[in-house]
Amino acid sequence: MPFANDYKSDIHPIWCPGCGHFMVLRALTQAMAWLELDKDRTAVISGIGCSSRLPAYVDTYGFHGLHGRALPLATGVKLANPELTVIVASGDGDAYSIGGNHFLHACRRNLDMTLIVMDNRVYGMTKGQPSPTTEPEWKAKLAPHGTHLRPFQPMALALSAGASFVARGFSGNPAELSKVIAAGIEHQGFSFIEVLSPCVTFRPEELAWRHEAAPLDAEPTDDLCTAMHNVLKKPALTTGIFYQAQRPVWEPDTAAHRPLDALAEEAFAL
Amino acid sequence: MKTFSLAITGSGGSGVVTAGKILLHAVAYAGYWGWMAKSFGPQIRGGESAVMLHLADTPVEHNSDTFDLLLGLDWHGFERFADEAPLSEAAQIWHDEHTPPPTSLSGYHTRALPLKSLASQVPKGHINMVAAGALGAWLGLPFEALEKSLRKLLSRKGEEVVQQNLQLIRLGFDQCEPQPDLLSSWERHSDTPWLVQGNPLTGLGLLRGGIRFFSAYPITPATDLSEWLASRLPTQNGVLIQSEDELAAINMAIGASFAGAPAATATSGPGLSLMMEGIGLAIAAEVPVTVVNVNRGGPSTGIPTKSEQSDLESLLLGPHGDSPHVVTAPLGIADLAATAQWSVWLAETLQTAVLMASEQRLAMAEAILPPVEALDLPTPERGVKDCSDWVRFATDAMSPLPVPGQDSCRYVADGLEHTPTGVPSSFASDHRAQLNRRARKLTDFHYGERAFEWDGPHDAETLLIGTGSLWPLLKHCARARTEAGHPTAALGLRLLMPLPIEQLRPLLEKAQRRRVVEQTHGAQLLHYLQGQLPDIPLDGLARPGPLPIRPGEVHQFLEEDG
Repeated sequence: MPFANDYKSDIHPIWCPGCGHFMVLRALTQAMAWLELDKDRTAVISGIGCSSRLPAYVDTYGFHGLHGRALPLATGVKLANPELTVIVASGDGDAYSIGGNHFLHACRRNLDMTLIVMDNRVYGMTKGQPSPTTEPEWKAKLAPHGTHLRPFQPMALALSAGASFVARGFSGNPAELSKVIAAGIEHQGFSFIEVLSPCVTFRPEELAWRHEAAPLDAEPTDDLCTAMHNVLKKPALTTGIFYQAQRPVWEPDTAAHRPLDALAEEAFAL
Repeated sequence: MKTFSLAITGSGGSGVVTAGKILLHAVAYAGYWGWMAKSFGPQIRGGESAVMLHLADTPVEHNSDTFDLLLGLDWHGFERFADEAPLSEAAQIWHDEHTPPPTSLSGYHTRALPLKSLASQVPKGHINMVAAGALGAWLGLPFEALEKSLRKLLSRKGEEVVQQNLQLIRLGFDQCEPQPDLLSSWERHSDTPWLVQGNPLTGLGLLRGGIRFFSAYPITPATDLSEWLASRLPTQNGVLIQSEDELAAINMAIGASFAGAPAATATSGPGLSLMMEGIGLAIAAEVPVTVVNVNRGGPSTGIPTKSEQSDLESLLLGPHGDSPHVVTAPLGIADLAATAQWSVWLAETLQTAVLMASEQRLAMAEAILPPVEALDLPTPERGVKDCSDWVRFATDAMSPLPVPGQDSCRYVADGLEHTPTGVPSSFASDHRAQLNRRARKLTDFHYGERAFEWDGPHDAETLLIGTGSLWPLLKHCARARTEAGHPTAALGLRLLMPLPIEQLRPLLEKAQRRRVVEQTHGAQLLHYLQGQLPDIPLDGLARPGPLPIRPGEVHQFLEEDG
């Protein structure tokens, strides 16, 4: 069986020392090793942000694309080459703000891919602006008095938009996170994994998450109401698989082969 | 060349387009040539709607100066369309006996027909069919041609519907006598032509180019290209997806292409603007992708249902940073398929974004043409046999694109500047080397004879330069000028970027006057060419849409300085 390190590239991450994303990378490569993923048949796709530098750090195919557009990029990859295992690495700004619409539609299509959103409730790469999951009173240069905006509840959004696997992990618990990621990759359909991953530079107070994170005291359910109840009622740092259901994966139309000349004749000849 | 131009107008939903289609098909069945432009208001139903048919005894794609006949199924909203159909002095106005034409049309010869009372003789009868029959008879079309045409267009609705409409056409047909100087006296061809629609013909070109993935968001006037492909791309083992927006459309296409499938998307001005960041990504990450832009009136949402060439600067200069890419333009309707096929081939061969400048006027046109053959281009291959010494972005050579899942050339495609192996880098040396690589792969490439078309004497005094829908018009005007004793040639630019300067320069230098004709307000093509060829004097005729540029306008422009 391969080791996690076999899936790491030899490029050193640009992340700050102590960044939660190191542990997400660790957990992801551990999950890849457990599943013995074929590196040539795996593609890690991302947008822009600290989280989105991840594809360069794994030894698979990868695409580091545009801010917010990781999911459409990954959708094209998966539809064009369905044999690939497609994993999307994203952050709270990338997935929920600039890429918010794609998040909803990717959940709705339920293509077989895994979205890992490293949520640190801040824009790190642009040095500390509030994101859609930032607390309303958190102050920043761009929001000196806080945003006064209710944070998104991404897992509730994912459930209502149609994701068939919805889970939360914590970078401070890589053993559990690896299992959640492995389960997400194995799940047939769109797997959404919210990963709490502290930003030690702009949100050092998030290091306290390690004292608050606790596993979900329930088995994964395929009942949407139960899952939604747990997402909304359990403490925000509750980790585990909240929802897993079998739902049809979107499939493009197929048709029997026809010669191009026949298509042309049919369309244009008198 | 014998020609006849007629327009049919009416409110949206009145059957104007169906009447036009029946006539155009019948013209084709009867052995003549022609094309039809469609004009719509913004409303889905109830707005103004018109078709303009240009019939000829040889293949034709250009506008006439005036129309010889105008038929009004009704006159609702006619004033919004009237400018698009200038009438000749001898023009006739046809109308239903109970709906006389507006006073703005007084002074023309009119003909009142009992369209409504004849239509009422058949259950669910519509006047458009009676009108098509009457026009067909008057033009000199055999009834059999109209029947064939009707069957072609309506047989899927069942024999009962066909019979009802055939009855209506017959009622109209019996109202009119064929005019001796019209179609019945024209020479007929015995070819088996095609009757094409612009957007679907573009779709055929994309399929011939080998696309296996197409993603798009609905936008007028590009949508029916996507709709045509929806049922056809799957027969080529391809995937089509309606994306949530244009941002997704271009990124899906890029993802698919990265994963091994030649990919394309189609849009119009506003969508093109949304795609620009993605186009830059395809350029930087060197992922082949073809973008068909069907130009409508701009800026902003502009005039969605009308035509212009005003997206040219967006197509040339839209992506940020130094972003060399390819811009192609179809030279007329028949060329849509070939240019689309060539565009996909260029994207695959050069591993970059190729933007094709289609136009509403081409895309929504229907035309009788000789069958449009596929280009004989070598199939660009994806895949790397041996990855051991493969380098994705070598500074001195193109390298083949690996197919993930098949080849062992794992790499990360990146919009960030990168090293030759694809690792993000902000080193000045890497940036310069990669900028050079991306520029030189396009400028060093030999584009061949497809880059432009020349029509006319090689020692022409005057050169008419243009692209897209204007090419057939410029050819027509140049020939007329040459016949009138002023040697004039037309130069059609199919490759707009990179401009084939070395081939064009001697041709341009030889002429005494070089005149650029374009459908923009800001003389975008003229300014681009002036920038590319600063030492060659050029001037131009630039006018925005939606009114098409007509032959008389070009001739008047040429007369201005003799």
